[in-house]
Formats: sequence, C-alpha cells, structure tokens
Amino acid sequence: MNWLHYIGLAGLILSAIVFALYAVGVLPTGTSPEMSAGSWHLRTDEYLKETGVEPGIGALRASADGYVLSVTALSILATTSLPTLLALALVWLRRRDWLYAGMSLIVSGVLLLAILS
Amino acid sequence: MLISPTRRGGTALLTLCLLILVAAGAGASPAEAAAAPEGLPWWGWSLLLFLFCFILGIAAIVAGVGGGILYVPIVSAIFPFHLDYVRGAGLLVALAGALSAAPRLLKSGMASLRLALPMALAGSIGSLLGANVGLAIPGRVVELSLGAVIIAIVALMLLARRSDHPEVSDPDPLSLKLGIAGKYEDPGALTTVSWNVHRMKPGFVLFLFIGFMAGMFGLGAGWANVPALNLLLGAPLKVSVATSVLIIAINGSAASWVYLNQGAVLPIIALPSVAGMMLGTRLGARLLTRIKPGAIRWVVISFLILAGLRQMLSGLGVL
Repeated sequence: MNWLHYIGLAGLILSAIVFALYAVGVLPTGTSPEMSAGSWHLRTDEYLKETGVEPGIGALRASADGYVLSVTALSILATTSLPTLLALALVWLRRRDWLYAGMSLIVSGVLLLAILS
Repeated sequence: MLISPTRRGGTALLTLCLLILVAAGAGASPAEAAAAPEGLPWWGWSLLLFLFCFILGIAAIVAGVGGGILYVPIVSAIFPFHLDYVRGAGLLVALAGALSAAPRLLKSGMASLRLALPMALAGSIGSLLGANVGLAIPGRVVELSLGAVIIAIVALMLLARRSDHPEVSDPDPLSLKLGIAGKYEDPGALTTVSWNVHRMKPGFVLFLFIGFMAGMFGLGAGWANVPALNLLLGAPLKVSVATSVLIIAINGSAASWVYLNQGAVLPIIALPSVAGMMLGTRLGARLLTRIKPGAIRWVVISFLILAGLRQMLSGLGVL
C-alpha cells in the first residue's frame, strides 16, 4: 500500500515541476495561463471552445504542449489507485481469495472505464 | 534538531509553489496581466488560492471537518472560477489527502481493506455516474442542489450521534461470507477492540448514493462515509474514519477522471489548490495539540452555512 503514497507523491511533485515550466513559459503551449484565466468563468464546453483545448486522451496528440503536460501530470494523481488495486488483486489471487480478487478487478474495471470514457 | 524527510518535502514543496507563482508573475508582461479577469493577473489569483487553501487545510484539521467538504462551497463562493473547475479541483484535493493518509492508516490496523472494497465498488460506480450527471446538467441546478446538500451536511455534522464501539450482536450473512471483521489496539483504553458489521445490503445502496453525490459536487465524502460506516454498518468510529479514507482514495479517482476527460481540470486552479491544502493539513495536524478547536469549528461551520446559502441564492438567480 506504500505504492499509493509514493505514486501519489511522485504525481504531485511531477505536477509541480511541469506546472512551473508551463507557468514561466519554458514549455511551449497553445493555451497560455493568461488565456486559461481569461476563460475560467465560463462553463467547460464554452471554455474548451474559447481556448481550443482538446479534452481527454485525444489531447495527448499535443504531448509537448505545456497545458496538456500539466493536466497529464495531475492525471497521475488520479490514476494512483488503479495499479494499487491491480496489485491487491494479485495478492488475493495468490491467497485464493477469489471473491476479493474479483472485486478488486471489478473496481479496477470501473476506474479503467472512467479513464477511457 | 533532525528534520524528517516528510517535513523537508513539505517545506520544499511550499517553497517551490511560491517560487513558481512569483516567477510566473515576474515573467508576465503588463499587457498580459491587464488581460486577466477581475483586476488581478492569473498568477495573483493562483497565489491567493494557494494561500487560501493552505489556511483552509489548517482550519479543516483543527475543526475536525474534512478538507474536501470545505473546498468546493467556500472557494466557489470567493473566487471568480466557474463551479465546474472548482468541483474538478475539489476532487483532486480530496484524493490527494486520502492518498497521503491511506498507507499510514492501513499500517496502524485501523483501516480495513475488506470493509472498504465492497463499499468502494458501490461508491466508484456512483461517483462515475454522479460526475457525468454533474457536468451535464445546467449550472443553476448544480448550484441550487449543492447549496441544499451543504446545509444538509452541516445539519448532519451537528446532529448525528457517533458511537465509539457500536454493538453488532448479529453480523449479517454477507459480511460473514466476505470475512469482514477485525480487531485493533486502542492505546487510549489499553485494550484490543474486536469488531464486525451488519446491514451490508442497505450499506451498499447508501454508498452508491454517497458516491453519486461526491462525484456530482466534487466533494470528498468523509462527511457521509463515516456516519454510514459507523451508524449503519456498525463499525467502530476509529475504523470508520480510517476506512472512509480508503474509500475516498478509490471513488475520488473514478470521478476525477470524468472531470479530467471532459476538460474540467484547469492546472492554474487545481495545482495551487492541491499543494495548498496538503501543506495546510500537515501543519494543521501539528497545531492540533496546541489550538483549542471549539471556536474554529464554529467559524468553519458558519462559513459552510453562508457558502451553502450563497450557492442556493445563486442557483435561484438571486445573486
């Protein structure tokens, strides 16, 4: 379970570093912090239209973009539970605890569905 | 004096965040600064948000109220951000706090994975649905219902009785089949406390609903998880508090991804919020023994009531 802590911490530190590079303008971006702030009063669909940000996995096509990298780094934090649950499923499979191994896999499936939806 | 790696990491992160925001301000041209809304340049808002979340994190711990529940209503009442981004950041704030606390709680033997997983299964499905619904319905409906939920949560905080060691004389067949039971050392009472649970099926339905609410409004769900585990399922209070953190670590993950995928997570809002709250809660935990929580708890609850009323009025179009 220390995985939770270390992956989460790594995600947070990586997010801070990438955000720093984005904020000071070192990373090239199509959505500068000023542009993002100029539209942060709009609801999400209007914000995306105004800034031209592509949401979700599709945004990874612009993987060198500072804005996309900042969001991607934050998404590591949101993904931390998935490898932990898969590792737990393995532990329970080894213990022949089929019920809990199955439950871990189902919860992992729900998280995967959230990631890919 | 030796400084622990955690403390060094916290101080380094605090310094890094402040440096980032000040450096970003130094790099911004006057024209860019003037283009930002509400008079302040973006980095000024982000710095203000970071400092505000730092204080909110301290207040949350000292007052014994979850940070996730404070963040969304209070930040959306004070800052000029759309509620979508505040909810997205709120989920990451709750998730980061849960991820940081979960391993320690598991090692202490207070948190039960066997109890958390079935409830997290229901909660993660609920939070996935709630997040999608929350981003699809009109903003005014979200504001009105968020305001009502905040007022209901305050009532729950003030009225719900807690039971340190609820009596479960007849564990239900499902909890026996799943092997949900445990024991822990209570250092205060110098005894080993054995526990088991009952009412698993209504618990499963309730956690589906709690997950839905948490995903829809971007709230951490400790406010509801703890009474549900303690009063409905019959888990001891300490086990309920610790297990609730594990459930938030899983449910928050599912809902956060919906907000990330729909573009409702803005780095200039989410990162200062997460960093500020995490550092504030760490400092709050240290101050806990030196500060009397009574007055701070009432200030926090008053803020929550005002923020809830403001959300309702805004939803009704009065504000």
